[in-house]
Formats: sequence, structure tokens, C-alpha cells
Amino acid sequence: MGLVCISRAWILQEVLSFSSPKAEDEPMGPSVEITPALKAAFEGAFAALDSAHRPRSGEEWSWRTEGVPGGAPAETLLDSEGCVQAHYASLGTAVLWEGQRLPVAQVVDTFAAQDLGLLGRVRAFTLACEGFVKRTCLPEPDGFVLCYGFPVRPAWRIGRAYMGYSVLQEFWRLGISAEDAARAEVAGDLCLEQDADWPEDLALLFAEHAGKLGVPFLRDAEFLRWRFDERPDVKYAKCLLRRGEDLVGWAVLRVTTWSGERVALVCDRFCVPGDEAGEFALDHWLGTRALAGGVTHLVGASGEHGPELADAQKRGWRVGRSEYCMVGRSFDPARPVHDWARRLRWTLGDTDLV
Amino acid sequence: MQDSPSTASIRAIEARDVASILAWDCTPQGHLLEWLLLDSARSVRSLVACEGGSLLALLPVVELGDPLPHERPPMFEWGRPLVAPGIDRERAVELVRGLEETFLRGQDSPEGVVVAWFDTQDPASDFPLGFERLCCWSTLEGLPFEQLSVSETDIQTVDLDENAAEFMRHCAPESAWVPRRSSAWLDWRYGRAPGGGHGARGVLERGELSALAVVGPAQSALGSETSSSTVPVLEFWVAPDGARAGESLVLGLAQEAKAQGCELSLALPSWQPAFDVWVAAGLRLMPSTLDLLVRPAALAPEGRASEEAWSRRVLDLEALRCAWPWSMGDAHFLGRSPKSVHPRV
Repeated sequence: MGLVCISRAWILQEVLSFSSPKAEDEPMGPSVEITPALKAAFEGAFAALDSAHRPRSGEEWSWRTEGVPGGAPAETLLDSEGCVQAHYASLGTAVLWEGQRLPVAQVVDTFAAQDLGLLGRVRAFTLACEGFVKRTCLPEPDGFVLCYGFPVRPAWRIGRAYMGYSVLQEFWRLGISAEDAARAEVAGDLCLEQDADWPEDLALLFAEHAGKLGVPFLRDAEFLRWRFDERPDVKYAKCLLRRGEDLVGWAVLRVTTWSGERVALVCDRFCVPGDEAGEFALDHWLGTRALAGGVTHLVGASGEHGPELADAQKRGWRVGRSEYCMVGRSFDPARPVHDWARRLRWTLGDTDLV
Repeated sequence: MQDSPSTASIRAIEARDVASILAWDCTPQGHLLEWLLLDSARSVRSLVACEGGSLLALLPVVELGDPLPHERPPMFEWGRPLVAPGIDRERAVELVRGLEETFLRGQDSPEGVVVAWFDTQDPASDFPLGFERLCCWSTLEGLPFEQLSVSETDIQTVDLDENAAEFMRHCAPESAWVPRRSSAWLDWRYGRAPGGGHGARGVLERGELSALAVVGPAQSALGSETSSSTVPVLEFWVAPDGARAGESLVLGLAQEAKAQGCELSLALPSWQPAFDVWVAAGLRLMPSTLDLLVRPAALAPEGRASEEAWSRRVLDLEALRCAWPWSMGDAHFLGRSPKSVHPRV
């Protein structure tokens, strides 16, 4: 791969200091203080990229940095006067690779200060990324095995040119009319349980079947509570699917505006692989709930591989392009990018886009 | 001729090399090899490594389309390098690396974009030098025959002549990065391909082509996870104002495939408007075992970054992702598997 290393000596002529190095015995977690200066730099950078950007609330900052089940390490690059030059943050999570739990990180909120020139932004961003990688990723003990994300274009360009980012998976949009989905039948032995608490045995169900999915992102009650119940300012609808007493699946929905369209987004979904009746039942709940929310279209997302993509299309979901692309960088030579690309299974809940 | 890192020398393939290559295991038939790598109407791009009069290895290369206007670098497709039997793994790696280096950085190196199809199920292989993953080679398949309209369509057989080539060029958006089609290229790619069986179908509006497709002979689906007999759609071009003609062509191709008891299969990037036409017709997106790899024309130099090199490399890659309308017609090799030098005809 064409990773180009920039000489540290060259960089150090102009830069700078890293904030908050991790102590040896400190677990991964929020490593930078979310200061007013950082918030202001973040808002400035993203407002420049997206005119529709809305300032992030204090509660949202807290949710993203405190209590994240997999930690939320970050790196902020400051100049000698303490001004933020670049920021590289993450949401820690995990995947199940052939039964083994591996820590991975979704890279989020990365930016370089707008008042730097192009090469200045490249340098600052690269340094922040290097610092993050050195401190949190393999070969550090328990370091992240993979970093992935859905970066804005400037971050993608710099990351691809200098930091080893690769295309991991296409981000296929899956769509169906809510009416069509709602028409799906619910078999008599299945029960849809709306807005119940996430049960603790959910993790066991997921672990038992995860291997059939490839390498999925970990699901357990702790993650789902943090991701969908505790997020401030956003309301998700959720449903557990049971056959008799047994949990066999779940789904999470959010009505929102997506790419300019008012839709119901399928934020998370799981059904025991091969349980076609279960999938139809979830389609029914999603369609019904979308209609109740006043929207006529359901939108989900999928990567390139996995039987669930083909199965969804057989049930009437249609693929389309999206503006996003999942990119990543592997830190384990035994698990190269093309291996991740083929195996990784994700939902919108594994992104910070919804 | 250039010296490789070992004592082997590297040069362009010549007709006299074919007999040696055919004697190796897992090599294609001679007329396929000659057509693909040594056609007199095409520039010879493939390289061989030799030593003491013996041929040791081959890097098969095909230039995509005709040479592009000078504002775009040319595009090449690599097949899997072949190594003569009896050469140990270490030496084989060295020879292949020498061939790849010579193509990319030799004094006669044609600076351009290189693409390759990578078989992710081949555990022994790794990405070739400097390549990056562009995407999975997904195909659109699974035409819902039961939903096909029985209405008549007005597709007709079309000659792959200069008019057809001009139409293909007209259909490409100005911003697109398209290996140029000409009548000479169409004649080589589809007219003289060993085995034959290619055909062009079009829809005319007011006497002018509005949609055009090239289909290949029925075969097992290319890189697909399905096994049904499939008619590959190798080219599919629709005029900017020809949406209805495009739909009519899809329907007509589907009806022809149904009459043959075959599926249809095609590959194209989702940014092309035609992608939505095929999805609307009910085709499903199916992943394959192949990844599409690219190596941009300009790699940033080692060490200190230059703004120009950085911009060029990154923008090349972005352009390829969102402006290269690849199709099965651009795929000549079956991934980087032992059978990879077989052309997709």
C-alpha cells in the first residue's frame, strides 16, 4: 500500500504539542478534555464543510466521550499558543472474529484547523492521526485492530494519501416503501415486543449466531443501551422479536431527514440467520412503525457482502448509491484490508451518521 | 531490455515467447494469448523475464480502450503473473516483483493507471505493488422473468462500427474517465475475440442510436456466486436524454435472455444512471469473490510530500471511484487466480 511516512524532524520545525498522553496503566477512554477551544474549532471546521451543520450540545459531547462502552480515545494537536490545530477522535467498540472479541474504533470528528494552508492541514491532521495510532492501536497491548469511519472528503483525502486509509466497503442504500414492508406477514408463533428494555441474554443469542454473519460488530445490552437509549436529543423506536419466550431478533428505527428525504432509517437490525419468517416480521414492524411516524419510505444500509444483502433484495428491498463510503485501516498484518472488506458486517448503528 | 534485480532480463513479450508460455501449466490456448497480448493492431504491453534464452515469467498486460487524449493518463489491466514451472517460490516472487517494478518504474514505463482484479479467495496472493482496493466487483443479476412485461420492444442488431464507437463516446459524461472506444478497438475486443459470439443491440429514436449494449456468449456468470448460465452485458450505454430507450433496451435484452433460458449479468458502478435502470428492472446486486484494484498514475514520492504529487494521486483515485464507468468490457482477465490469463470474452 502506498503509505507515505512524513519525517518527524520535518514536522517538528513547526509543531507543536500533543495533549493528554495516556498513562501506562490508564484504560482507553476519553483522553482529551473537551475544552471550549476544542468545541469552537470543531464547530468552525464542520460548519465550513457543511452549511447545514448544527452546533453539538454539551449533552451530546458528554455522550460521545463518557460512558462509551469501548472507550473514546482522542488526540488533539495544539500549537505553542494552545490553539487547536487538529483533532482525531474515536468511538471504541468491538467485533467478533471467529468467536474472538477484537477491539476496533470508529474514527469520528476528525478535522484540521481551517486557517492552515493545505500542507499545514495535511501535517497537522497526519500528526494527530499518528499520535492516536501510536497510543491506541496495535501493537500497543489491547490496541485497536481496525480503525474505520465514514470521513468527510478532506479527511478522506489526507488519510488515503498519507495514513493508509483504504476503501473497506461500499455503503449501499437499501430502500423499500413502508407500505410494502408493512404488508409482510408475521407468523403466528412470533411476537413483536415494542420499546422493551434490552435483555441481558441478547449477547448470548448474538454470540451464538455471529459467526454465520462473518465478522459483525458486537451487540450486547450495554452497547445498545448506550447507542440507542442514552443518546441525548434523538429518539429511536425499538422492537424485540420473540418466538415464544425465545429472543430471535430486534430492530431499531429512527424517523429523520436523510439526504434531503424524510424517511424511517433502519438503525439496527438482527435476526437469527436463516429465519426468513423472522425477517418478514421485522419488515412488518419497520413498515408499520414508519407509517405511524408519517413517512412512506424505509431506508437501511448494507456493505457489499453477506447473505443479508441478497436476502433483503429477495424480500423487495432495492439497492441504491449513497454519498458515503466505509474506509478503514488494519493494524494486524494477519487481517489485511481485503479480509476485513469481505467479512465485516455492520448496521447504521455502527456509524455516527444516525 | 532492462536488467531485473536478479540476473534475469526483462523485455516486451514477442511472438516467439508464446510456445514457451503454452508449455507451462495453467496457461491459456495460444490463439487467446496471441489475441490478448500480441494483436498486431494493439500496442504490446506485456513483459517477460528471461535468462539464458529461457523464458521464466510473464506479466500479462492489456491497455484499456485506445490511448486516451493527453489530459488523462492511459489505463492498463494486469493479469496474474505467470511463472515457469520448477522455479522456487522465493525466485518466483523476485521475478514477479522485477516485472511489476519494470512496468511501473522502468525507463519505458507508460505512466498510467493500472487496474487489476484480485481474487480474495486465493490465500496465497496479496495486492500487487502500490495497488489499492477500489471496490468489490459486484454484479447485477437475477432478472425477475415472471415480472417481465410482454410488450414488444424495438431493439435491433447494431454494427460495432465507428458510429457505435462515437455513440459510446457521446454517452460518457464530460467529467468521466473513460478508456476510449473506437471502431478499431471494438473490432479487436468484440469482433476478433477468439470464440466469437458477441453481439450488439440498440434502440434507435428518430433514426439515431439512443441506447446500445454489447452482449457476450452465454457462459457461467463472471466471478458470481450463482452458477446459472448467463449472458454477460459487456457494454451498456445510454444517451444523456435516452432514459426511455435505456429501459426499452433492458427489457429487450431480458426477453432475449429469457428466450435462451439464460440469466443476464452485468457490472457497472452505481454512479451511472444506468445502474438505477437495471435495479428498477428488478436485478439484484450480488457480491463476487473479486475485488477491483487500482494503482493511480502518480504516487506521492517517498519522504517530503509535494502538494502537486499529493493532489494528483488523491484526485486520480477519487476520479476513478466516481468517474470511471467500468464495465465487463473492461475486464480481460479472470482475477489473480491461476487461470487468470484467460480473457473474458
